[in-house]
Amino acid sequence: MDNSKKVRRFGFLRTRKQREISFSVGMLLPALIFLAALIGYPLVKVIHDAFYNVNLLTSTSAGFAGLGNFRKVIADPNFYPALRHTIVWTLVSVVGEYVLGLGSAILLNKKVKGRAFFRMAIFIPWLVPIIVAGMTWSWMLNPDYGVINYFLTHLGIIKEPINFLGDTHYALGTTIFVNIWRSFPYYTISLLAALQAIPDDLYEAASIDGAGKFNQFLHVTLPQLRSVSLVIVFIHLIWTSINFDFIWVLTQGGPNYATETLPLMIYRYSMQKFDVGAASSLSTMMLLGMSLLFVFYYKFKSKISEETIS
Amino acid sequence: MNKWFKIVGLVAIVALGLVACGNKSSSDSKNTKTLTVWTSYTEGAATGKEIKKTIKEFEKETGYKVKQSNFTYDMMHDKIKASAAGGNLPDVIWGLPEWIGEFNQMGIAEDITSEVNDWSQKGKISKASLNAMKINGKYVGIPYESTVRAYLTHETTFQKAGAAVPTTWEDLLSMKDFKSKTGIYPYSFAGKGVREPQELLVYLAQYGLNIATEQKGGKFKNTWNNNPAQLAKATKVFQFYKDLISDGIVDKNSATLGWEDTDENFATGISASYVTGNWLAEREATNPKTMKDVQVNAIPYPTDGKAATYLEAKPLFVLKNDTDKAAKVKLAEAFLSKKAQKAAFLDRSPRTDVTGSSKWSKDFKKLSDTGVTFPPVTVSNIQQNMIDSLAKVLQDGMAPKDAAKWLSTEVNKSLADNNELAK
Repeated sequence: MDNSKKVRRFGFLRTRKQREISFSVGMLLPALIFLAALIGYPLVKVIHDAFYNVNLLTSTSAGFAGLGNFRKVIADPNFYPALRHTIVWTLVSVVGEYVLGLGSAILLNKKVKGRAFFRMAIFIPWLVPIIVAGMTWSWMLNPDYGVINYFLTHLGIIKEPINFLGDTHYALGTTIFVNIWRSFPYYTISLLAALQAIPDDLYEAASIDGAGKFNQFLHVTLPQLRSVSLVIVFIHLIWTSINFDFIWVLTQGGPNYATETLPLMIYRYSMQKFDVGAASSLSTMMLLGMSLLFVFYYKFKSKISEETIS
Repeated sequence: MNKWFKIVGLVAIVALGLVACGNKSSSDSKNTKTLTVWTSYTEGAATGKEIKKTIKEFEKETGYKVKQSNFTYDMMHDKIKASAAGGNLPDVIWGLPEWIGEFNQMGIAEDITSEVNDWSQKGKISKASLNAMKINGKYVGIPYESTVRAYLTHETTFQKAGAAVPTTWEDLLSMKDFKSKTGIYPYSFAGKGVREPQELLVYLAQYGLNIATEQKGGKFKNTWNNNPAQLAKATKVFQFYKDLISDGIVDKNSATLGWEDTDENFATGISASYVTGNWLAEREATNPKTMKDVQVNAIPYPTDGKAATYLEAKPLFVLKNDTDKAAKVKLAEAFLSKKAQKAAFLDRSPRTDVTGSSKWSKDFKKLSDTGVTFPPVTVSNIQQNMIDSLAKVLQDGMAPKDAAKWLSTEVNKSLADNNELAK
């Protein structure tokens, strides 16, 4: 087919630029439709339902609710404790994961015997499915026949078994500990990759300037890890705060709401109380919080990029 | 113009594809005569194998293809709600009795009253189990599995303690030296999860109380706060729980144990007795040593009360969708045939002509006259209220009377939320 025929066939695409735009739109359209259907629609529906009385069981009170659902959620006696648990759960988890991940990455960056095996083995907790990890830990922590209580009592560390997941004093801490155990390998792998990319010249230069190991870590290693740290910390802040499944498998928010977080509250509103309106309003509040976090991340990331360029 | 025509065409094709995905099962049902059934049994257990045989026979007899998926009850419950919201319900499901009121309120269960009344096997089904399927005089399900709870005891542990099996709460609370003699707590209860409300329901029923009673006009209400005598009885129930722990009859950890832990503790001999169901028969194979001395008894009750147990008549729901109702009912009835029940539910069949000879069948059936069930309302949040009320007493130290008052108020709030509260 010669060029003149091609131009005639696609007559409406007169210029090369028009053809390029048309081609790009054509290629992107299926993805855009799927995004709109699978992400856009549910998102808009949640925001819409947040302002309406929506109940799965009854339509008698259906209609516009204004800010009624938001007021209902905030007045719920479980809201502030759940918000506090969400903040503690998220911050302590992420800090613990980062510290453990960085420590293990530094160790695995050293030339030690069996390094390849350790690098592979450390990833195992992250590969175990959540349901398997959760069930295994809850059996291990059981006060009657759990292996952890067995060792702690037989070694004389504790006098009587501790109900780690059933005692309000221990439950949240234990859940956070198990979450750190599960998530820190992700940090290890990411930070290890970044550590390996730091040029040796920087350490040599620092050494010539008289910097000891600690100062090298402080002034060479940490600044070089800043970019990757920022990404994984912010991703995990979001992932951890919206996490539902791990807490649900371990404690279902108990004992007596001691580990209840906001995602669990959303679940209870929609699946236990059938109050989709309240569930949507709490989801919208969380969405707003996450969006603010993302804006903060974006600004911080841009600042780091500018600093790096300058 | 041509450009827009192409774009609109592409959008239409993708949209059609999405629509086709969403309605796959209904179009399947119409064109290839497919029925969808969601079951719930322990994977690998005999029930599943036998049920698959029943389905194959049904397919052979009727020409229908049956698409079967197996879930845990919790998973299925969530999936049903999502399917109902999406208008894509399966045809038949194995459910729990607690869902009857909820599904009726949601309007997703077919009214199968005329089909049940015309059914040739109706007379073979236990009346108590069939009655548990009724709301406002209409059938919204048929029972596929029916069993009551019994008080199981480890005979050798009781012998070691020199104690007789308790028949009343007072007997139970007098066993203060049982733990010191045997190293094992004499009793146990579930403090969380689905089992806790079932146990609390029974202890309340032993005092003639219900969590919500039907009022004039067909709606329900918890009346304890309006009736001092009822409130006093409910208070006694919470006090009983408190005394069980403070007197050392039950391990204090029971306050936060679910059914998985309490069943496991009994099967492995960690607790000397427990109120549970005849599915524990399966543990004779996995824990032959600790399960060989198990005795089946009636649940202890207060001397100023009466005997009661929890009747768990599990309903087969026929759900509303485009599929032919007669075919769906026929599939549901196939699970109730004598052959299928004998093979899959020998110890826990609602059929009066299907019964085993073991203690798990005979001794449990003896207790069925005193069976109680949840009222036919949406109990999902009411169950959570019941769990919370016990947590308040056992974990927060709330006074039993205050807990009874709190529960009464919260139950009525839950009923009101679902438009089920009587004025």
